[in-house]
Amino acid sequence: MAVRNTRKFLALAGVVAVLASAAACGSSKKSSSNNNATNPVTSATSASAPAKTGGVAHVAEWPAGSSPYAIWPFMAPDQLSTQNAGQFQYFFYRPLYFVGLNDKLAVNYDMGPADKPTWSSDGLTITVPLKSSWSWNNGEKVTGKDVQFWLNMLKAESGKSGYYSPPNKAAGVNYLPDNIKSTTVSDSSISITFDQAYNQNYIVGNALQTVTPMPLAWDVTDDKGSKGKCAEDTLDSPSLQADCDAVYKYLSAAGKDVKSFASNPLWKIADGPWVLKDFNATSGAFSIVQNKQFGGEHKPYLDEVDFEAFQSPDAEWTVLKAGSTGPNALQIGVFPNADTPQYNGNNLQAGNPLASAGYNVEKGALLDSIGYYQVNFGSKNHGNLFKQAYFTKALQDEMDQQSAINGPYKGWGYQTTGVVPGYPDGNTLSPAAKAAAAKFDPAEAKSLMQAHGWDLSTTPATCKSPGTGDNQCGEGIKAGDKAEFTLEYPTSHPAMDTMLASYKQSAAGAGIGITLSTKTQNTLGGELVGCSKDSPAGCGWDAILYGGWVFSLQPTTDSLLTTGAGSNIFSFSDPKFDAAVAKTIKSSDPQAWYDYESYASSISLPLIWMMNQIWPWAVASNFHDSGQDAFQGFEPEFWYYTK
Amino acid sequence: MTTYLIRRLFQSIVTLFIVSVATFGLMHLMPNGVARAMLGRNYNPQNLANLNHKLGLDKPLYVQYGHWLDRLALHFDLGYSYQRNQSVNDLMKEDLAQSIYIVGLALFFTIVLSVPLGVVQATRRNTVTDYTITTFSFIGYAIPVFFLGVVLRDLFQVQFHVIPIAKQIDSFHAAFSQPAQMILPVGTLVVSGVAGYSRYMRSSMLDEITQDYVRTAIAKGATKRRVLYGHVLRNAMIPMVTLIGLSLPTLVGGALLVEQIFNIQGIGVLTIQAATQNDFVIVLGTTMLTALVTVIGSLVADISYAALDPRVRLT
Repeated sequence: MAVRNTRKFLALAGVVAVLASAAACGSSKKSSSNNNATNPVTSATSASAPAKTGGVAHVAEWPAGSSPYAIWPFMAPDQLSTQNAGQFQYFFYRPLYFVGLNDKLAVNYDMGPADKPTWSSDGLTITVPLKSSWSWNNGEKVTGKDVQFWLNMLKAESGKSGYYSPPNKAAGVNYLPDNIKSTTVSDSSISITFDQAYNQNYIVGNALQTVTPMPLAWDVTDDKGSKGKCAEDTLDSPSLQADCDAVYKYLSAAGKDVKSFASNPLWKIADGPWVLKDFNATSGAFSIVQNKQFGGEHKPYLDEVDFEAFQSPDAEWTVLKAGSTGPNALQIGVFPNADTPQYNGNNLQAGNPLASAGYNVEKGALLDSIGYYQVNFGSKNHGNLFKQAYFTKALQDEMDQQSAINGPYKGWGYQTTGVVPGYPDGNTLSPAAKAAAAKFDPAEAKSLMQAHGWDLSTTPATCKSPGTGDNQCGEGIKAGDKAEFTLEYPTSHPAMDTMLASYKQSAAGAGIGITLSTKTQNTLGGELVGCSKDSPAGCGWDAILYGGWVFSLQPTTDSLLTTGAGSNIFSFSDPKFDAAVAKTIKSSDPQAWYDYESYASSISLPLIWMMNQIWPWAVASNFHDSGQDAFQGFEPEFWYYTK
Repeated sequence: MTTYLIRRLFQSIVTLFIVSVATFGLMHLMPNGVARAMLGRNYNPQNLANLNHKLGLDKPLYVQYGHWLDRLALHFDLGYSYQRNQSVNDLMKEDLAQSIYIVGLALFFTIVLSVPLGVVQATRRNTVTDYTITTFSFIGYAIPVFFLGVVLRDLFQVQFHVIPIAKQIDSFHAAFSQPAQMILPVGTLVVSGVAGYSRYMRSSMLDEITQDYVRTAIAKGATKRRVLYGHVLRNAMIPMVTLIGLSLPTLVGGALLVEQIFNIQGIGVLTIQAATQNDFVIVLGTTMLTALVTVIGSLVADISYAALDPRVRLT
């Protein structure tokens, strides 16, 4: 789980991310006025205007009302958020490998301190070379010891780290650092030997992209700079726990002291393209300036970027409407839902309400994610219903994703078709997965219900043919039971209200009665626990729309759907599925992915696929904003004013 | 008087205790606890147990309440927000000043404007002036604050650029040093405030004008001006004191809608954000502060009433 953890949290970039919203800063794919694209995921690009170096850009924090609150990249589980990572820490401290730049699901070796790794012939040992040009701005090189420092900390403080996951027994895999047998460190590399052979892309794109080298200057235990020993140890050092405890205690406290983010000398030591200039603890607004010692490939154009805080999307919208010039004008902001122009693939600027204010409409990045609402196989009321493959298929058939995209979401979205995201480009879809892609088919839903012994003369339908036969309602469903459940979703989302009202109406056509209920995002989050004897509250919910799942490079669902996985709160268990997932992690053979996708598309999963939202951005017409990733992170080193 | 004060003090303490118990209990009614919501997608049983332990949420509720009360009573420490990684005292200190400034200014201008308006209306009852002011009062009262704020903002900041766009008002200094930025939020609050207060003042003045002492004063040869401003207005102001006293909680409660519309980081926004994020420690802190000021405001109003009106005796 840890290997994917760094990305999954990005789905929770605030309430607005409920539909696994895709948003990064602006678009890497500038819209063209004459392309014929009609789908946001395929819109064409245009050439960029010449870059002007220097200047200060003002950018709205996203989403409005959120801001970073942790600067030490070794985050606790409750700190993992896109505001803290991709929209803050990564500016200063880069993970070994960087995934997803410019809507491309691939490792971008230019973006991190590590070069392409090599593997031993037995596939057990990876050697990660560290770039000689990449150094900390205190003059020290980024070395293997900096990576070892992170791994040591993860080993010692696993229970406190958001990047740690316990072993997955169902899939038969361990995660960092439990899967490491040994490490060999040098100034220019680190070699890691694993407990078994893994999918090499998975190790790089899912595991090592969560590892952020830490400067040795952080190996301290107090404000006086008393030297710690955590970075000096190896993973099997007897003193590792004690050595790292002292450092952890100090750094974790300093890393969340928002008032000293900009003044603490610790956090000024950076290897990324930026350093923190100031941070307003009250509002969360902050400014970054160029790291003059940055040795990476992509040096910033801008001198400074100010991330401005807004109480609400409405307050941000006011500033945008006031125009793109002036001392406090924004160069980049986000259209609120209500004011989003209708998507027009032929001319993205058509209907741009901010044209006269000097802004262009830009398409946000796609997200490596799946959108869904989740059903609870352990629900005391309707769990048996959800376990029936025909029933979840019927629920899927009634979900008209494209109409939702075209209607309430004004064209800004793309469909989720299965357990592996079809967008952005990079994931391989099996023929079986493509054939089984989710589609709107209310006729099939109706026939499925009728074919399995339901009386559709009323809504909700009632089971008239109980039993486990092919034409019966299924195990655990009694005669007279109703095909109904409650679907909870976040409050204050008018587009979602419209979409789900339509879904409810559509489902009623197949005899499925859905009671819609809205609650705050946090209340829904509080409800989302699995059903067990220790957690009876987890048996109380039927279905909840809470957010999607954002993958790392390899979109496997080891921590979401395997038996006993931490995020498997659905009481879903299928040993064959577990085995298929395990293969995706252990094998580099593409057939393993095909098998996984094929099997996943043939069974009843506790996830009903829904659309992914794309966020349109307002970008000043004299500003270029390419450079963002598929995980809602910002890469301002690619931003510049145009000549 | 002393007995009264002691009794009211005791009542206030009981009130605050009940408020704290109710708020504390309500905030802990969240399904599966606050920590689960804080973890969001990063939930797993181990993380939940660790976070509950870190926050002290694995202890019995009465123990948690006891710790909170202990810190509050002995150190006036309202707790620590783990979601914002700051003490609630610090957060409130940072957000309270600008809220008090804005709401205080609004209250001041509301009183300054509504008293003479009420007097004018009462003295020119059923004239065109009265009807005109009444009409505008009704309109001002009927327009929701959020709507008025949005309209004023769009007109003066977006359409005509009369008032420049500013960065977020996130400190007292930012509020104090940019008087132009205060015009719209204060103005928004004043419009709705004046509408209500002036009606109240008008009514109070009319009540007084019909009193016997007014007729007596006139009969004894006092000028109209002296009667009006020397007797009627002073007596008519007494109920206003109650109204002002009861308005004090808004100083610390902030003006949520105005703060949101005009991008002000104030106590109202802090409270609502904390509530939606289930940051119960902050909600508890702001609720307690509001309750405290409400109790004090009520007490001040009662005492002022007695001081201003010799007919009232506090026993």
